[in-house]
Amino acid sequence: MLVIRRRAGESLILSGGVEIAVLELSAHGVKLGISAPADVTVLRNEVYLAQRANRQAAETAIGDRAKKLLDSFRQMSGPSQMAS
Amino acid sequence: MPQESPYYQFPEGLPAFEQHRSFRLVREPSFDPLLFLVSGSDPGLRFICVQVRFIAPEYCYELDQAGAAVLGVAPGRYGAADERFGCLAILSFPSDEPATANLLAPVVIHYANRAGLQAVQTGGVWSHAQPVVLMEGA
Repeated sequence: MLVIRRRAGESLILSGGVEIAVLELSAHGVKLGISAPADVTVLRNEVYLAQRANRQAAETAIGDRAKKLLDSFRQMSGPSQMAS
Repeated sequence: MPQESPYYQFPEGLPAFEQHRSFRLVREPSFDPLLFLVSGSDPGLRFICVQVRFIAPEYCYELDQAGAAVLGVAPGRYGAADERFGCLAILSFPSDEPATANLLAPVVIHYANRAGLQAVQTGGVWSHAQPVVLMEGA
């Protein structure tokens, strides 16, 4: 990983016309400003991971695989409950 | 016989599926305690879920201002066992790997308000691919 030290008010440039500026440093975190072309997607990492997990979940929502999980679970569980 | 909940409105959709704005929960008894979260606009889009309390009873999540507004509640920290809400983990079933649960981003449903969202958490300890260990009593 490339590590660059920047202060508030300074920025860095990525190819493709992307600029990331350090706007503010505080005890709560770092506030960044990002300038990028409209076709560049900017996501918080957590949202990116959630997107990826959702795509995988949709592709693998296969009953037979879920049944395998349930087979092991039912050996140790009691009566089931339904979400209200 | 499958049992179906009402449709819940998801004004923001789900990450990667933003165009799907309503979902319902479908229970098929042979899959208990798993539930199916099924899109209202495309029944072919479904997720297999489980109530988070069945895999992590101590689990808590944060609702920020925007997320709380979607559900019509106050921002703050909520527990997975709070019965006003469904707090669901979406499961993945990769072909050659153990099943995982997305505890980074639980699906939260306010039953009374018929509203839901996927509440992406920040700074927590839970993963988007948490190994699934169902708890006794689920």
